Amino acid sequence: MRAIDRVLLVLEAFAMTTLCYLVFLYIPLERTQGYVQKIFFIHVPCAWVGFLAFTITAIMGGRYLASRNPDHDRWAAASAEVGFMFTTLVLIPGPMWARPGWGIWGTWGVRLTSTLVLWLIYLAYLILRQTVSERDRRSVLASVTGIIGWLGVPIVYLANRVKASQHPAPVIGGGEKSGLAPIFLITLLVGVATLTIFYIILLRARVRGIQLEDEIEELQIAGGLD
Amino acid sequence: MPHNFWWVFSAYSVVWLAVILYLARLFGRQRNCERQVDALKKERGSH
Repeated sequence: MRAIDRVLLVLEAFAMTTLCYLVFLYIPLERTQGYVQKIFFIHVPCAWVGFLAFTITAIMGGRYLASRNPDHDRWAAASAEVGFMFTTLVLIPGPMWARPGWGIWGTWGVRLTSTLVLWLIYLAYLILRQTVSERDRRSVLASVTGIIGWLGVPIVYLANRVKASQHPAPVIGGGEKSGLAPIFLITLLVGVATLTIFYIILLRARVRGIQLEDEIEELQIAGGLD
Repeated sequence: MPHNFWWVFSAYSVVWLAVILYLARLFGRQRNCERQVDALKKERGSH
């Protein structure tokens, strides 16, 4: 493990502790939903990191198509995998908030449906990477899928701004009645920072893993091994 | 215990556990790959 990874892990431990302290011990209860609203501070940062990860995948995919540099493809692949995990983690705590909050696990409103579609797009992306064996072809197809798939990000973001559903209305940039009390906003930002640091750690580890996997493949080919 | 505490606790636990287990898996796989690369390099060097 490199020194920068150790620094990031220490930062992450500090950020996680701060977030848990703020959520469980410091911030007051939200007026209408009470205790269960605290899930917001992990649910929204997971979605943010998913969006960030898929944006990096699209950018790196575009850079790969322009340069054919395999490093760009590795970053795109790693970011898609990490983003997929975070999007899965959006879909799990969401119903755990909805069940006690509204008495249902969820409804197929635009936000939930579009998030599930985005999740399925990146599941297809990961399957594509596993099934196409020829490296250049796989990288090109994955890059194109990553760029087209990214279109789902603004659709998910705008979903509950365009059409109301059971999902809560946007609390940031959602119009006159939206907004967060300063302490809630600070806690949300700490949550976003905590999961963004986690994203960077996971991304770096996954890129290193892919580099090593490629090196093994090249050594095996060079040595005539299968 | 506050009302709905376990829902909140479970939601946070799922996220932390998933991320930490995924990270442990990535570092574990990385170590295995490093060993494999070393072994392959030694093998090539001995020929």
